[in-house]
Amino acid sequence: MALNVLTLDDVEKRFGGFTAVDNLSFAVPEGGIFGFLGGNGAGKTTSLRMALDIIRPTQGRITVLGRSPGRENAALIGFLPEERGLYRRMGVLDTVSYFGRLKGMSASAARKASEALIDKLGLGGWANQTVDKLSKGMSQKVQLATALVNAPRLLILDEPFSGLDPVNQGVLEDLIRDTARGGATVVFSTHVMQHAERLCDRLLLLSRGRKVFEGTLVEGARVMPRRLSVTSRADPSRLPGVAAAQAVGDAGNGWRDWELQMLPGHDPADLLQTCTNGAFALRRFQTREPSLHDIFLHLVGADEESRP
Amino acid sequence: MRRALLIATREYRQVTSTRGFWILLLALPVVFGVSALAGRWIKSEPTAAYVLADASGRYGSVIEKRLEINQQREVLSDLATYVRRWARGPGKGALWDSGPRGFDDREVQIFMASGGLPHALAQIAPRLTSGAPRFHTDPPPYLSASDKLAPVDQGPAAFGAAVTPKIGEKVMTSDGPRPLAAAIYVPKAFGTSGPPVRVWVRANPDSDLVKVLRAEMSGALRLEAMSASGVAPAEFERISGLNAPLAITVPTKGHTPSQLLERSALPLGLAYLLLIAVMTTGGMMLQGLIEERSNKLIESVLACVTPSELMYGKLLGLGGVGLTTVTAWVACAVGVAFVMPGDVADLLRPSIESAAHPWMAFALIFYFVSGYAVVSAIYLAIGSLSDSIQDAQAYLVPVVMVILLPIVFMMTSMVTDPGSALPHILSWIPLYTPFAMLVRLGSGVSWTEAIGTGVLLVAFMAIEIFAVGRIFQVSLLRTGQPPKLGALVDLVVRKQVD
Repeated sequence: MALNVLTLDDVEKRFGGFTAVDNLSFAVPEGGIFGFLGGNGAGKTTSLRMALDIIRPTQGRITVLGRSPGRENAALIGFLPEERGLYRRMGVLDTVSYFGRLKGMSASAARKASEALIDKLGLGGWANQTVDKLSKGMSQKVQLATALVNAPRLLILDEPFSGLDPVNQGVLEDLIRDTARGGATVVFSTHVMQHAERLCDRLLLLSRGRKVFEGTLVEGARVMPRRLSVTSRADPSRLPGVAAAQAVGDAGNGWRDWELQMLPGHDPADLLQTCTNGAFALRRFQTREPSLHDIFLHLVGADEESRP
Repeated sequence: MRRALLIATREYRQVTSTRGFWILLLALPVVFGVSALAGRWIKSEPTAAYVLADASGRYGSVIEKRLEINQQREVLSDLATYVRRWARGPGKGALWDSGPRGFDDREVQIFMASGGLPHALAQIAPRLTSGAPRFHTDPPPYLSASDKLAPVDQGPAAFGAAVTPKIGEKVMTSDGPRPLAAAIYVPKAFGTSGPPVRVWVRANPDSDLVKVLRAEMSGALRLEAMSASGVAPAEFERISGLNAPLAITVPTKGHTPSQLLERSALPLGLAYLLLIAVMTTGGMMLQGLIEERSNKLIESVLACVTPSELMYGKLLGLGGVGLTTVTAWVACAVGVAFVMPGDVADLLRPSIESAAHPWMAFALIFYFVSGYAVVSAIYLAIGSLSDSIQDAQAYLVPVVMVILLPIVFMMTSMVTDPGSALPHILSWIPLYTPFAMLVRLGSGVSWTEAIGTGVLLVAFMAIEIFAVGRIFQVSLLRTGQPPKLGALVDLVVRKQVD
């Protein structure tokens, strides 16, 4: 059985009268890339901060790499916060080494790892420059290096793509994949669905501090009604499993285009088989796979609508 | 602890790599150096020459004798100061053993008659402590030049015409060539109704020289007037030579107010340095913490270290900066005291020697370090609550006033009135204890007071560090308006922090 690198059991976090995280439970299995999704104020950052022991839960239990959260785990964790900054007058190499040392590395090991990482990120020529002389993109790479310098088992990235241009977003995606391929577990939060869709093996969707979904993208697609486009002569709305059918155009010679929505838990493949067996004439049968964005809107939108 | 030390090292390096730190570090040595050199420059002012042409033949020797007595009075006074500082034992009751005071003419004449300075130095030599510098006294301010510079018997106009071009030029004296500062002509018929004494000078007349001239010439005129009234010259001399008998007692070595002040120079200086260092480095620390908060670096750091470790690291790092600064300043003071002779050295040396006692050294270090911790912790708390320097100012202005004003009043009162009650009162208020005790160390503090205020100070520091730790933990990731005082107190006293 695979170890869970991060688990939250009935965790609640209140700030005064405001509940930021509400009875949240989930587990991040070791290996792969785990996405934390949610809109602003969903509780993503608060949850990650609790996992890092930067703040403590009001109640509930958290384990990180099989232990309670604490700085003793820092040697095994890399963390890139959402809002970033560096010591402006500190050198690039010194900055990365310093964070390596804060995570328990020896001076020589931290320096060696920092040099290798800086080279890998294309900052070799800037190693001895102070941070205030770097461009924003370079600074963000340096900050990423501070998270990776200890070759972490668990890499936690809070909104890692915010503020990056498309080229650097691609570079970061590659780096996340490389890190995961290297055996680390990557947990990252985002509200940009495309990144999560491309990268994540598993997902957690949060809304107002509560979990609304946990699982793979395929599992996510199952929880929402499937949609498909068909062209038929007859009205498909009475077919088994069809929740609603809407005519959207005339295809000529008595054929019409329809948009169908399936009842939850009904598979479009079963509908196709029904049509074939029942001689329900079709000229076109096209399933529309839901995007993560659709899933998110479906799951979180409903929750948001019920917000008082 | 390891992580706190790493943070301390980084803080230390960051501050010591700034230009502001080096300006702070070098400011005091530069002041010392300039003071010492300025002292030398002032002392190296050349002795000036004067020429006295006495056409009457009656007054020249009187004036020269007066100038000589005055000069020897200065020598004797300097000698008494030198003996007080550098000679062992009470001595054999010589004039110079009675301490620096105003010596009268009779005493000076006894000094001169007994062989003057060479004889006195020979007497003192066996009693000098090791390391005693050579005796130094300022050279006479003016020496007599030959009156052959200009004709004496052709009246003041001819004398003035001849001597005026030579004013400012070097003329020969008994100690070599010196610039001619003044030329004095006493007319043959000088008297109450006769022509005046004429004086030619380059710029403003030397006030001492004019004073001597006026006093001696007036004395001579009075003598003549008395003689004309039938008073015998000997009787006049006796009457005018009368001095009110004054028995001057100088306190034993080390107990005069000025000597207490000398002994207090190092502790008092340390109190000033503590104030300057803690305010300056506290400002640097505040700026660093605000930078970490405002550019959101703090979250990365807090993923690796606890808020307490961050706080201790910062306190240690900035404490190191303060200690480095003061060590450099004290080393500089010691260097000046023992290498560069002068007034600054004379002031510092007794104080440094009195601090060589182990308990005194311990007390100096304890109060300095604790003072640093007490004030730095306040700066840290302000930094953890502020997103910008503008935010910090709202707290800083009242806090700095509360810290600074009583300390400045106390230091001023200590110098002007060493018996003032203010330092005693402030000794028992922990925020001011380090400063007050440093200020008072030179004049002596009782054991009960030292232990009592020390215990109170340590207890206060423990509570303060706990409170700042609470504020630090809660405030580092907070955004928005800084909390009000009531909210701050609530943060500190509540059982559990968010």
